[in-house]
Amino acid sequence: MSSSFLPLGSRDLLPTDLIKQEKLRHIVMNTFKSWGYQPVLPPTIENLDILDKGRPQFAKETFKVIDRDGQLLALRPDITLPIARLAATRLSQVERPLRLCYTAKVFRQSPHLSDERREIYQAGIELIGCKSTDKVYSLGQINKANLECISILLEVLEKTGLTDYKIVLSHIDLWKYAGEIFHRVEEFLEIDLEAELDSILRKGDFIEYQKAIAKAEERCSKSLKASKEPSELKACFESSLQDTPLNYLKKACFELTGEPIKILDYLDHDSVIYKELSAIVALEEIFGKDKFIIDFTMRPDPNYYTGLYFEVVIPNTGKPIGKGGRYDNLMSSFGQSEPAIGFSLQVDALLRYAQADKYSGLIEEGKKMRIPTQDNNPAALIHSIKQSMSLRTKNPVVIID
Amino acid sequence: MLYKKNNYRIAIPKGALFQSSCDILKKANLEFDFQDRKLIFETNEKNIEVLLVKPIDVPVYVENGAADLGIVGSDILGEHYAQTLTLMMLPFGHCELMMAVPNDSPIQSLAQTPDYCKIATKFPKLTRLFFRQKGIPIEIIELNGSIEIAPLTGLSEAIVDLLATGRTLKENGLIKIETISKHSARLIANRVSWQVNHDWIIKILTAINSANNS
Repeated sequence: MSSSFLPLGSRDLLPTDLIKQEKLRHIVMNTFKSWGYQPVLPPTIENLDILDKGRPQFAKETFKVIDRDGQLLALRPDITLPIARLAATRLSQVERPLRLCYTAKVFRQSPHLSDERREIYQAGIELIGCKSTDKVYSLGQINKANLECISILLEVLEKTGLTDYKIVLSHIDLWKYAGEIFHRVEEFLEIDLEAELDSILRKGDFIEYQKAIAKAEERCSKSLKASKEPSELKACFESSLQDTPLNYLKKACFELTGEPIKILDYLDHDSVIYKELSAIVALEEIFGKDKFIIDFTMRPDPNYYTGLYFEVVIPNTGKPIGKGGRYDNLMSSFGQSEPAIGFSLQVDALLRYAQADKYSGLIEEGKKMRIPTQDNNPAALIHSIKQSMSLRTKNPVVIID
Repeated sequence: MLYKKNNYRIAIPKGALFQSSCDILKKANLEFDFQDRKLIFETNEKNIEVLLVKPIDVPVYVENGAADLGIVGSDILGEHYAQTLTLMMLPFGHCELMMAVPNDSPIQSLAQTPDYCKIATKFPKLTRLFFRQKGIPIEIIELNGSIEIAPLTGLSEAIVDLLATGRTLKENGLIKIETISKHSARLIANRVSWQVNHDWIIKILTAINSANNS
């Protein structure tokens, strides 16, 4: 292919696009700033090993660079990782909570679709740490941070002019809801069923999911039959096979998605997961009805998420335009243990689905003032430049022709 | 202006799975009048449309949200990656991906496959995966149809293709020596549709399920 063509997945931004993008960026960043968030910008190039703390797929999707010394570097595939690094190092002594925001590009190459865009312009916030002096973070503090984060997300979406978006909520601790028994089954069979089911759901394969549970169930009942000692686990399986936690999970992939009222009703009202999610759904009081959907089959993509996880979707468009969640363990991998939450939105997708006319800022040709000049008269040219400078105080554009 | 769709859509494949797809939708009380050359059909439910597309395009429509649901063979899902939800197995479209050679080939079993054996196939990804797992290096010749004539014309030494009845194989003097994977039809969904139109999808799922069980 000729080198005069663009590489796959790249684009030139033309004036119309760039002006719209700048306007949107302005609205988004101003909203973030009005909540007390301060802008930061990590470097484009990071050490490759920062990715070890992210998701395994990053390794495949990242553009790698080798420097003069043979050091392996990466074009950042994600912004949360570098900001976590920054927060744990140079900003480690700054008063908590740390409120940071950004608009920046991430660089990825999708292993599946070669023409998917490789430079993704993202806008987002990170809320890191909390005021507490002790190291235990209460549900109250988690809720406070969750609500602040989701409120900002909703406000930004409203301000960009999006109308029919939905926030889809999920939670890492889905399996806790399946109960103590679930973990005993895992222990008993010496398998990590949770990790297995998570990875199957990430692929979206409900048939595999059913098979994995059926397999665990079969192994369980086989081993239990063989063991002579009566155990609680055995009793649970023998009492009524219909009600085993595994049987519950089998149905779960079809029943744990839908309107919050319905799904929250399924959950134990004393569970942390219920308290976290119902607190968020209560934001509809401010932002209007039908903003949220719960989908527990949606498992977070980067594996640094630890609790609440959410995606922003627009009905009938196919793919999410933003995502976020809690990453309470990521900070400790950079040497500073503290809870954190954040989200990022894809700026291009926002522009695509928001009311586009709101952002068109091109100045019409007719409104541009032109001063005619003569090429070979330096004195007149100086005069024209002087004249244009004073005219610019009243006219948006003055061009020396 | 960006296109917005207001109806629910189900993409079904042309070809081998077409009739069974119509039948299962009919059992789930979704009917439409098939007309030659038409590709979008209104159904008896006024907000549901059926799209008729090439089998390998079904996951594309569903992944991008142009269709909410789709019916497609698991062979295609395995060969062409798409980010969709696989909701359930459907009881038709059973076939297997297999390796076949000419009747008089010196290769009579998988173990006799020579290194860098030339294999013609429409399924390069599944074929490569299978032989890599077996540790046999092969050379894939990617074709788009009439795979059976590849060994007869000297283009390849073996083929990997779908086998439903075995008739085409026999007529071309080929014999199956190894099963690579078994396949059948799947119901797939777009994830955002699954979230946003959940009640409708569950309704369709339930109707198909009870039609299957009756």
